[in-house]
Amino acid sequence: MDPSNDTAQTWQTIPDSMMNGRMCGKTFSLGSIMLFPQQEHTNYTDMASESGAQRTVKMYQLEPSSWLWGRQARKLINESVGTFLSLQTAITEAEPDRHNAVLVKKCREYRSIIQACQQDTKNLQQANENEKQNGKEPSTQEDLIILQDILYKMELILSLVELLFIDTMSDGHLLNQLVKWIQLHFPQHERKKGVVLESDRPHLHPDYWNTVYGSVLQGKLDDARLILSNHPSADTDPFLSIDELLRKMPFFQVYGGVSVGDFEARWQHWQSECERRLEEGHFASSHNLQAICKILCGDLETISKLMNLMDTWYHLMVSTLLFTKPTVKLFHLSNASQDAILRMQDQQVITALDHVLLAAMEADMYQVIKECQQVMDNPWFTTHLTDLLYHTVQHKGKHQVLPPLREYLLLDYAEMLAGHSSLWQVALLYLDHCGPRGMAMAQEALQRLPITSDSCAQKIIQMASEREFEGVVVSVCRVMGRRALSQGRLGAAIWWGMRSKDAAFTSHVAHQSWKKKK
Amino acid sequence: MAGSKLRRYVGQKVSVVRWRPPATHYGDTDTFLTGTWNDPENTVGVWRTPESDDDPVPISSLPHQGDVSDIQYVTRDSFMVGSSTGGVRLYRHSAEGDLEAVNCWDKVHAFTTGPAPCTSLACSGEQIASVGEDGKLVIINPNQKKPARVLEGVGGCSLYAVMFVRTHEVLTSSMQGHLKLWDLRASQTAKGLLFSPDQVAVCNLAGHPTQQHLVAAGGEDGTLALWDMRNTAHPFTIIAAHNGPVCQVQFHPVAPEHLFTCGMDGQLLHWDASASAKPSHLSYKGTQDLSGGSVTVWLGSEVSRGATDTTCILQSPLPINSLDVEGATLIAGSDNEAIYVLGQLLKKRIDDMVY
Repeated sequence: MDPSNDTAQTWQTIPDSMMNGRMCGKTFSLGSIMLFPQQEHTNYTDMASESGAQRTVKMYQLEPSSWLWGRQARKLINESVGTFLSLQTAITEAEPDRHNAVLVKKCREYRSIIQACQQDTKNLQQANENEKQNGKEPSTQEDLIILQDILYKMELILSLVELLFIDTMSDGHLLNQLVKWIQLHFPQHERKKGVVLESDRPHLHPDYWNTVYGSVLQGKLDDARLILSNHPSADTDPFLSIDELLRKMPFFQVYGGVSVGDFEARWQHWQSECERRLEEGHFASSHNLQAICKILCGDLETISKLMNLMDTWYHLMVSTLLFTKPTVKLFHLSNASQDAILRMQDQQVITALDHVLLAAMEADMYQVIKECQQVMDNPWFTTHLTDLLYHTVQHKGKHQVLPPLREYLLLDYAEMLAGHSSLWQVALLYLDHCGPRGMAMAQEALQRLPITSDSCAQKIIQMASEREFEGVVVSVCRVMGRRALSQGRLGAAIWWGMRSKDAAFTSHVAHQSWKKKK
Repeated sequence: MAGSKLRRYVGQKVSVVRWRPPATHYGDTDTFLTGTWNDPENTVGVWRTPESDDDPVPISSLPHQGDVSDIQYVTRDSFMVGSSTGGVRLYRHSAEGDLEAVNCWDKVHAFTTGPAPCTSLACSGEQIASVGEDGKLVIINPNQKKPARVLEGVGGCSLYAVMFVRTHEVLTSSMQGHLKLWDLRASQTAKGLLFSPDQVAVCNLAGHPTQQHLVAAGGEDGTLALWDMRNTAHPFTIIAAHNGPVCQVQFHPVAPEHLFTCGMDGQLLHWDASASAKPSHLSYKGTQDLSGGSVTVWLGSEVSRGATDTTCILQSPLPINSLDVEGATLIAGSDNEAIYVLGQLLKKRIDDMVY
């Protein structure tokens, strides 16, 4: 579906000699392809020779597979449809000024669904590790690792979108939330802190200073102070001095009663105090403490030197902003992100994920959606994201592209679900929200479902009558009636015939049963 | 009736949930089975609900051919599973918590052209009754390889539900809405009952735990009918319950003035007739019998007027296929690929019952 996606070009060979040179295919159901060998052309003079009909001919059904159909990820589908439906009803019922609260809540629900799946997958991975001697195939472990990766990326993007676009409580002052975002997604310093503090002599642990730097860069100043207090020279002047600076760093609170101007003044005052102490040589005895102070002064060179502690450009960007521009707003992020990428240029390759995050920093919603589509192989994430964004901007009434884009994505996702053997019911729940095209697709999908038993037929009829698709009900009843007739079950055939309200069919069946009775 | 509500997604559509019978008559049970449908790899799974209000935990599972249409316990450790391939299998809980297959009867139900799904099972002592879409009632003895009796229906209609009224009497319901009572000691049916003139299919039957003549039937048009078997001309009452076919009906085994139904409209309803419980003037020696479920509360005038206290305790966007209630906990499985565990239902009532 997406030609620019490199992974789409995988080749599958059908292990059947009959197919050589004669393979033919036809689209079947919604999204699968039926493959079969063409009949050989036999010459008229060669009728007696061995014909292909004597060898068994097999047909192959090719279905698109996706990480979403795996046992773990499948739960995401049903959980998210619940959140999706409740979002639609909550938005229509809420008053306009409550919209944001509703959207933030639903966004967090989506995030917790992804996090729950991450947790499940992690538990399964650990259980598999413990059972390695059972001879589990390595591919399941690989699949789980890939799934973890995908889930991590989705959660990262979703949380960034939440704080940039959806959660407007902080009135545009993003730094605190960005810092929290980084803290949540880069927990390695938290872990190292635990390791370092538990060791016998923390200050001699090789990771000691790195952990301190890491905590400072993530804004976890209390953690940094805790680790520093474990140093044997913690009572000396330089240490006390740095402790004081760390303690006194101002953080902006939106409802703290302090205006932006006041806060900026305080912050400048604090930073100039840091610079003063540095110049006066308070930390001349320890180059480590000097480095910490330089970070606090917002010295770009020092921060860049510690790039290996930060892994990614967005971490670098947030750490830089923390110490250079605490009143950052959304429109600053575009420049800041470009800047961070430039500084980190030699250390990393720009991936598709980075494109998504960059687009978010540029506040370009369409680009975010488009980049997401490039990254993911199925529309699950993109669909729900677009739905959230659509509701966020809908009441502003300015956007022309988002509504049809959302509908298109929902239809796409629903079509993919409808082609799955067991998720067709979920597909119908989505199609209810896709306008007239959704209704049309729903009818088509319902009529093409394989009916395996009476209860399955009743469920299809139930879904069709809820949506007032009379044609589908009639059609299903006719199919069941015809089937019953061919099995000689005339009572059932008449019953289905009556349901179908098809007079001609019912009378035909009645006639058959009368003939049988004769 | 406050209670805890848990929902756990399992990644497969759940067609049947069944509590394992408790070890003692008034004890609790924490293990239940689930059966799935509409999946290329259907399974029968064992789950345990922990003491605290946590999600149920899967213990083990066994793959199953075809959709699971019904599960019924024969003894505390062994149970029967009916399949959409027309076969019935007997399994047992092993000591380690796994499941073992003990016996299987394939092709118990079949059309002339192929396999027919088995739709429902019922057990009484050592006899298992199975009905299917081919219209046959088959009696199976768990120790024998071949079915003991095969009773054909006439008319070629699917049978949807079966239950034992007494040890030798079986009630079946068909797609045409006929309730038929079979006497297994004789070789012919005892009576035939008509549900309603509109030929509304009866999808599920449930027997009152203590009053054997009282049967609740869930219909395909969403109605709940209460039958008094002593007066079989017409149902005692028909109440409009759901907006779609009723999938399962069940009386609470210990507090039978509470009835639960679930349907394809995604609702699970709790019918509470205890408010209209009053001393029955038919009881022996005119004694007042207020507790323990008044003898005829379901057949009283209040219920016939539809004056029961009905609450919707669960709402799902997709059909709820099955429910089972034991003690104070109710489990339900739905096409939403979720298992629901509702705890502390009827708490006050159950506490009253302990004596």
